[in-house]
Amino acid sequence: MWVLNLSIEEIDLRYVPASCTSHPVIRLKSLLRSLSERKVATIRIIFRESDIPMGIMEFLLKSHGYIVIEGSRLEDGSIQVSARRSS
Amino acid sequence: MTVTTSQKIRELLRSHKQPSREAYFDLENSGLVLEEVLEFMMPYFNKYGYGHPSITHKPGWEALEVIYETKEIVSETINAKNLESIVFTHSGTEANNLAILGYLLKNRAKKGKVVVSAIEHLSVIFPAQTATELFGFRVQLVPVDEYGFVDPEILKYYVDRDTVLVSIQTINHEIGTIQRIKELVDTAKSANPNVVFHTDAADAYGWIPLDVQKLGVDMLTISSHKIHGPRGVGALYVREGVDLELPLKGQLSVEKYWPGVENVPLIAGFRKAVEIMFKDFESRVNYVKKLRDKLLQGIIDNVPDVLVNGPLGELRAPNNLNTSFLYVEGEALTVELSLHGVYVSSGSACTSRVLEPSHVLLAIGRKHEEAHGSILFKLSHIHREEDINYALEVIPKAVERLRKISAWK
Repeated sequence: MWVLNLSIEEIDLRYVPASCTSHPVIRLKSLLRSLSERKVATIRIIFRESDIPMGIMEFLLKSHGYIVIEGSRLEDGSIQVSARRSS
Repeated sequence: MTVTTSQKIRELLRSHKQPSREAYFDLENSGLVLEEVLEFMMPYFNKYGYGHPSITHKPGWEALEVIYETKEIVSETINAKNLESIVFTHSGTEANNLAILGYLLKNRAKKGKVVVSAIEHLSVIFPAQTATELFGFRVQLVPVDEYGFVDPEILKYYVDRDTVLVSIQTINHEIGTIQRIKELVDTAKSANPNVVFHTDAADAYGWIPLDVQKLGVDMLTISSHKIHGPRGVGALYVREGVDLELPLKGQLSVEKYWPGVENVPLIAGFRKAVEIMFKDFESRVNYVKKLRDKLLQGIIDNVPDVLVNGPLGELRAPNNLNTSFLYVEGEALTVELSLHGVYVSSGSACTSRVLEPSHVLLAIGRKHEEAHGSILFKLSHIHREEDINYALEVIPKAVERLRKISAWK
């Protein structure tokens, strides 16, 4: 049976506690695999470009099967992107 | 009455008992010093070269002699042109700190960007983060692929005119990924010819050929205990023209970048270990690779639900095997194996004080539960086929026993 998955999940990578594994790149890599496996339809990510350049964010999303559909800059200078599952 | 920590440890050891056979595969966390190395270094404690190497008397000159002999042999093995470019520290961690903090301290007025890979040793990541907090540098972590490789095309996004320092490991200490360092150096230097490139080669030295001229690196870290030398000695290669500021303050002896008296007996041990590890280099490496492959195949054939962390083939360190045993907690498995005399480590904790999984395993996209079940084996020429056979006899039973009582199933 085919089930339409319209789930949306948000990841905020701006504020992370200091630890070995909390850097936005490490958190994102770990989370993307889980989101991709759960076939989450849309993800919204808020991040600082100083942590992850926009081009890299697009690359990482694409390598996990997501395409950026919109992006905007928030008041605090961080970026919010929405990405949709491509297949 | 309060039970002291040492009493608790004694009780733990008493209840552990002596296993009938032992095989030590935790060469990542603490090397095993070879007998020949021990024999060579012992006289330097009280019979020969026990003096301060910068004082003008016979025991001092003897100490100075072994320091320079070691610089010579290390220089030769990495093709460094100048003996003064080899700086001894008291560990690989200190050498990494000297490279990162020493360079950033010297260049603190620039306040630029520091680029390191997401799977670097914490002795690179933490000093880089400290420089951010203290001097206003910005640190960026470069993501790696599922095998731990840094893609030069990705690195291009990070290195620009603002970048002052790049640090990427030659071989990853946990998953054994051999980076294409020459290509990464070329990429970084094409984007910014002024960038200084450091590589932590502690896990590469003695295992793959290293030539600082061909690689084009500006700084390179080495650690004695990773090649069966004693713990307590590290070295940093610093290319002529790269200037550092001492992160540690105190009276200088022989080394211009590291204060305090050089640890001469341990440097002597390091010298001997280098001599041994670079003799019959290729046949030793091939021997270890065969043992590693036998261990890997034996685990895959005899234990279900196992993942290999890191690449397979020629781009994996010949002495490294890192596997995740699913539905098992890594630390529980290290204890279970220890009871049978097989000593390994786990990536279930990023440091012994923090119960977060290894940042390396998360950075290659492993889930927490996969990282928690990881076991790292480091092999060497000290191992015999019987050690591998014994490990393969013990591991499947230990995993099976723990899976039976695991809550993760």
